Amino acid sequence: MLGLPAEFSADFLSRLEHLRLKTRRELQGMGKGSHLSPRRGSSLEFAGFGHYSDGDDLRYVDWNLFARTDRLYVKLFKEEEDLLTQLFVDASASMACPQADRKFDFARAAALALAYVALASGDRVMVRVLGGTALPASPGMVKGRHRIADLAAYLSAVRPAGGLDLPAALARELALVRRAGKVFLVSDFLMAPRALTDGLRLLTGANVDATAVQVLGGLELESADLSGEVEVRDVETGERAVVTLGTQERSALQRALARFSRELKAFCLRHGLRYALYVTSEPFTTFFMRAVTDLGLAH
Amino acid sequence: MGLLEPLALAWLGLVPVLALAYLVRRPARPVVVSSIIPFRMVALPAGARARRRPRFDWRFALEAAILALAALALAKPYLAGRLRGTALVLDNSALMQAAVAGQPSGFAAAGAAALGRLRASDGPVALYLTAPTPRQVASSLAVAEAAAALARLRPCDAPDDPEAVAQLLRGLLAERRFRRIVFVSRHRLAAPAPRGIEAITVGGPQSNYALTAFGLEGGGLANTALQAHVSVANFGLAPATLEVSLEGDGKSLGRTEVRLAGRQMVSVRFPAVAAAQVYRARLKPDDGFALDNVAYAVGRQGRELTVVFVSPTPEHGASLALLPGVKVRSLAAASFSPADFAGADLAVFEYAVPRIRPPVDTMLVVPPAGDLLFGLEAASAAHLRITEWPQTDPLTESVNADLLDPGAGEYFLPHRWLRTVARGARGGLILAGRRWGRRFVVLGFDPFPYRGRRNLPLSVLTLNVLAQLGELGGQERLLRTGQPWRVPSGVTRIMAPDGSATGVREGSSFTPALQGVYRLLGPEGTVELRAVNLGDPGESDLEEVAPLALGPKPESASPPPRVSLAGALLWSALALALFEALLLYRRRGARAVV
Repeated sequence: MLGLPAEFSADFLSRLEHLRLKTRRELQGMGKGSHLSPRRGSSLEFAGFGHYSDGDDLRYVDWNLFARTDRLYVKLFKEEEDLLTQLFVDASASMACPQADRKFDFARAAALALAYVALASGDRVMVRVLGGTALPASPGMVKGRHRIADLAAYLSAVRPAGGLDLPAALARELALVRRAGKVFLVSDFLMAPRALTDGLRLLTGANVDATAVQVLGGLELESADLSGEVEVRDVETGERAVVTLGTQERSALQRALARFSRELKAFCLRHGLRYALYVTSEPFTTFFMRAVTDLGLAH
Repeated sequence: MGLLEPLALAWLGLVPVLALAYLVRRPARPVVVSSIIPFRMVALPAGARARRRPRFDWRFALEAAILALAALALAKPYLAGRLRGTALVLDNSALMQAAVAGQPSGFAAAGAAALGRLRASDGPVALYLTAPTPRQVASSLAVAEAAAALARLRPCDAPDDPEAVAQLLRGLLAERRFRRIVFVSRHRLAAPAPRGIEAITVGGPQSNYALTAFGLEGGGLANTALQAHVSVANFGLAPATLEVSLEGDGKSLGRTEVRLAGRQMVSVRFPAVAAAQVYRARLKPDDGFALDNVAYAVGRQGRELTVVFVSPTPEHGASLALLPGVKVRSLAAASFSPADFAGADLAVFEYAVPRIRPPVDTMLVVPPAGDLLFGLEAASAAHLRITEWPQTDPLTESVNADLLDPGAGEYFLPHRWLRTVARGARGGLILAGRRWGRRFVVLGFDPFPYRGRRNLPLSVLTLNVLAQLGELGGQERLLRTGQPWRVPSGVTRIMAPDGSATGVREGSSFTPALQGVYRLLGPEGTVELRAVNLGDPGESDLEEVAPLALGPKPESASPPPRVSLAGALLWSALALALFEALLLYRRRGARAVV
């Protein structure tokens, strides 16, 4: 249906319709919408008082305040605007490894689900792919739920490959748009810690409400295919190491990955980012509806 | 703990080889991972380091353990056991039936003496009896149980085999399983007696009179007069007058007195004894050993002799019908089948041989060459010449060999189990022997057709052979207690003199333990009677009971009792191998998911 992944059943789409994006602060939009904006406007949300000046609508003059202070003040209201939602999907080679985990497929599904929530709320959405090679042309900023098909087609054409320099890629993308909004970064975040923190700090510094969605494979977490003496090779960097793995070592690896995720989450929360972890062994729709709050969504 | 094969420990040298094989193992398996970062986060043993400092590998440990266990098992380790309990070897031979002072029998005295020794010991008791063959009858008995077992035991009528008893005692000494070995017997141990056996001798020198042999002769086809002969012995030192009486089927047939000097033996004959089925000889006066004062014999079974005659010229067999009491069924060799043996007492094959084992006693006359059953080798001769003709053999007695003209026939080469009775210039002329529970007589010349007085030597020979094979007259062989016989065909049960019956199979071995007349029973009733007597002068001579010679105890040749650990080690190695196989199988299954 609309080129969406198989997880997007009619029921799931219906449940997505009832979700909306939630921001931690008011962000300036590009047009009328449903999100409160720092701009003054005509919504019902009271924003404060302002000095009356010629031409102000007398209907907004607060006559009680005039009686107490003998000065004319007008009541100001907040504006409601749409929200620019930017989705960055990691398409580096690690997202396709191990192949059986289908990490990139689920990362694409997560991005499309978030995009659908935004489009259904009347917000603008822009999906960008980080890393990868021979990327197709991006549909750009889209609005209206029917454009989800364009986004699905775009992501379906992406094949994970190569490495990812997260700080450089994010800096490039953020410089292109330079607008406030909501940002989702979907990745396995399996990269050098320094590159990871530098990249996430870019989001912290930008005027965006960012959420990091980490996608890890179930088999990847269990390290089930590793035993005895193996030569491991990093699919992105090509680095190699010959290690001897037994039951204890596999357990240590699992603990290391869990610690890595915990530290990532702690970094995100410390720096004002939201964080959600999806392990592909869990059904996708179950994860998405369970992690609504972590993802920065609301019913 | 010790090792029987310490050199087998050399197999442990394979463990370093195995270790080497693990150290020089195949190249590491390449695996592409999404990121090498987690591997850097964990202090994993790197491959290069692993080669310098070997890591624990469960497969290596398991395989090394399997190898070590197998090598250890090959070395046959053992644990030295503890000596415990008492072995009581009780003489229950016929000799022990003789009375001793203060006790009804030597066996009762032996039981009382043994019990006295057992009460002074602790630990379990293993009970052995010596007759008819030495054997263990009970093990791990408490003293009270051993006393109860002794009360139930009775001596048998058979003598013991001194060599077998000595072997049993030597074996018990060599095994060193028991702390004490108590041997109770009328035999004393010959000097030098080995240490480790507590020998208790019951009874002492004692005068005794005995019937040492009882048999019947004659009553056959050639010699119709039946006579009984009885051997009487005085084993005492003083002269004695003894009365020997003979009964046939319960009726008195005769009585005689003999005067015997000390340690003298004579033979008494009762001529012209009336026909009876069971004969009993008795010796008086009674003495302390009643068993050898009675002897039994069985006479002609009182039935008609049925002969199946198989020949290319069956009319030769018809001539045997001239003999009174003989019924002949003549068959052409070509039409003979094994079913024709049915109902026959004996078979005669003239110029023919059976292809299967005959179920009856058989006479072969000039058998053709190439038979596989008997494997007879013969050389034909146009005229046989007799060179050796014994007059004492039942087959050849009363035959005037000077008048006997065998004519054409065969000389036999020496045979594996047939003895040569009469010889000719180039080999045996008459062979006889027992096999498969049957008797066989082979003639190299043809005595048929039977011509009676017209050819007296051949006729007497024919009658002798038929009488032997048909067991006409008295029982041919003197059977003794404790000596086994083969069960003849057609017999399914044997009833002992005490009335107890035992199921038997044809050709199996049967050992009579009681003196008296045994009834050999078939599906249609009694097949045969057999008289069994003690008839052992060694048992009856209570004046000089032979000592039992064991020889000195071989001090160094008796290893301590051992419990072998080899089996347990082998089973452990096998269990570990299975465990490893199971683990490998499960791991392979897990990889298949990835």
